[in-house]
Amino acid sequence: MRNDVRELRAAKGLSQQALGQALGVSRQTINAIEQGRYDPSLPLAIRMARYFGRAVEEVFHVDDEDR
Amino acid sequence: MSTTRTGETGSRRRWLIPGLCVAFAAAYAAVFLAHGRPLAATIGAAVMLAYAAVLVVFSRRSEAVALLREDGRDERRAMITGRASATTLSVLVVLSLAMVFVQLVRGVEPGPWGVFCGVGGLTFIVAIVYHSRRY
Repeated sequence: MRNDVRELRAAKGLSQQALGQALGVSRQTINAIEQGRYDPSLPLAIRMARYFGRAVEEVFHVDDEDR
Repeated sequence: MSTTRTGETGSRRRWLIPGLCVAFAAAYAAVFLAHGRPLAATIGAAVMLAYAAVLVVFSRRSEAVALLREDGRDERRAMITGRASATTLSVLVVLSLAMVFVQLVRGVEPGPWGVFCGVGGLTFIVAIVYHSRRY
């Protein structure tokens, strides 16, 4: 699943560490999400989207191969 | 809707594994000393204390060490720990089954290996039933 977390985080001028602290997860988890190695749970995805003031589907994009 | 464990509980948990290592170090030393083996007592305690020191010193630099220490678990770290536990258990089950067959081929009772397989199989069945009803 693709996502725009890296771009949204950069636009806010946040480090992975700072975003992780704001969302209550580790820096490595933010990195894994940004690289597409880890798909967050629905609660975490919603928290991330709300943090950036977006809808979940505006932050996370389902690829055809994800279906 | 929290997906992480934070605050006082998380802080206490961070020291649980290092604390257990220190307790095991003391237990190893006491048991070996009670059997008159001071060298084994020293080595056993030193290994456990060194492991505890590695967990405390390197858990901020290495995520793998942080996971071994259960430091600041979030949902991804919980998943990693769960998968690592499942992998470990799979290896132990395969080893135990192999040892049961080896014992049977040798014509002796499976002993602790049989108990381990029995308890493991029963636990798996109960866990499947419990979790299938819970989720």
